[in-house]
Amino acid sequence: MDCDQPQAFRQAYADGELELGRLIEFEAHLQKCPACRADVEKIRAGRAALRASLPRYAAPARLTEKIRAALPITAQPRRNVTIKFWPYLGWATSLAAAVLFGLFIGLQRGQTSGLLDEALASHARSLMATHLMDVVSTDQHTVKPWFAGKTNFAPPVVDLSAEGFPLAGGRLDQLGPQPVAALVYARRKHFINLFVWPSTSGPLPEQSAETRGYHTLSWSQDGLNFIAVSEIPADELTAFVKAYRAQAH
Amino acid sequence: MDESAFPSAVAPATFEQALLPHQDAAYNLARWLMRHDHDAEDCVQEAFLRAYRAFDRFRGGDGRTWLLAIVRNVCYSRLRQKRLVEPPISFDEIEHSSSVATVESPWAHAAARELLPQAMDKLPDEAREILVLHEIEGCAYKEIAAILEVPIGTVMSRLARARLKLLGELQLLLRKDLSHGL
Ligand SMILES: [Zn+2]
Repeated sequence: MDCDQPQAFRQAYADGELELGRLIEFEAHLQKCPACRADVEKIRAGRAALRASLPRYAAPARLTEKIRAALPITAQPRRNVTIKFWPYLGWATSLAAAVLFGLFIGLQRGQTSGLLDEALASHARSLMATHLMDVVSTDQHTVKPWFAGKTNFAPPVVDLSAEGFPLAGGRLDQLGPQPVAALVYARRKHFINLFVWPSTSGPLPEQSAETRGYHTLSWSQDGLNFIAVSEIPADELTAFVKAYRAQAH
Repeated sequence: MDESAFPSAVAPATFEQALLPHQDAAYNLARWLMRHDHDAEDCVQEAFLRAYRAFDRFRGGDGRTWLLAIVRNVCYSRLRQKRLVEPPISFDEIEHSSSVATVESPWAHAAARELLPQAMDKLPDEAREILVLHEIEGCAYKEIAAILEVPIGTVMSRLARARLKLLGELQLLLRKDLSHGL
């Protein structure tokens, strides 16, 4: 691969949307081509400026009332389900799917009970409850010491904002009986849960899986087990894991 | 909130669960397409009504994608009514010139951010909407492809050209702004 990639290809790369084969190829090229690196940086800077400057119009409060008034749903609530709006500001996007998914996994867990399923269920729960983060911070120097004293191991907390995965926080969680540290990274409006625990009962195989639009990646390094879970596209999650492993090592 | 607010058994998503949480996303898209508060509200309301009627065809999955596709259709049919004579030229078919690819970055100028809304205004609807979906709503290419009902390759090239077009418009506005200031 050389410098003749069209703009759309370069932008897709900067957006983390290239499929893995092309991604690896292009990154190999970037390694040795300062001109293309500069170009990608320019694209990223432009996108960041755009994202920082474009306003998101919020629905006026009366709109909810208007919608409900137009629909027969308030007159006759279905069963006794009451749904309040989640206090989740801009992050509400993937919640409905997460709720459903959490319920689905909740039912299935007894049968499949794999760690990946536990991780998926925990990811889904963390999105729908208010329990996404115990410590909310984009600063690794805040999140890292927070775990000290709460866990008997130190999950590597690294800064991946340059790669497009800013740190959002962390929490203590459990996968089945296993207490784990959960690091939360953001990707656009989605989250990545990264579960970390000592591999005393054996290292995890390196594997990836997809279930109902959620992707998981597992691996072990330096005596710790890792499972990353998110609803972002598989190649983005792969890029996240690659960047994390490189820095955590 | 506690989990008791959620049904304890696996049930198909109710309309409220699957779609109502996405009304901000719906409004944002409608507002950018219609460029008018009340028109946007009307469109969102109609979209929810249509979604409600068609909800038995919702197969689960991402409610936002499903809803935004409906919002978009409502907006476009309203826009078509408004602009009776405007020919529906697809953004994909115009301006294949690659010269815009060399546009220099306008972000060094302090005025660029202020002029951004004006520049967005000058874009064709299809360019504006794809920027809104990707840059504001944070939709992945795959989700945008589902909302616009086009292949991912089209999303990729349309988004790239929308960004370049926006930079071009921004440059024009900046140049006007600067010469005005002299
Ligand atoms: Zn190059």
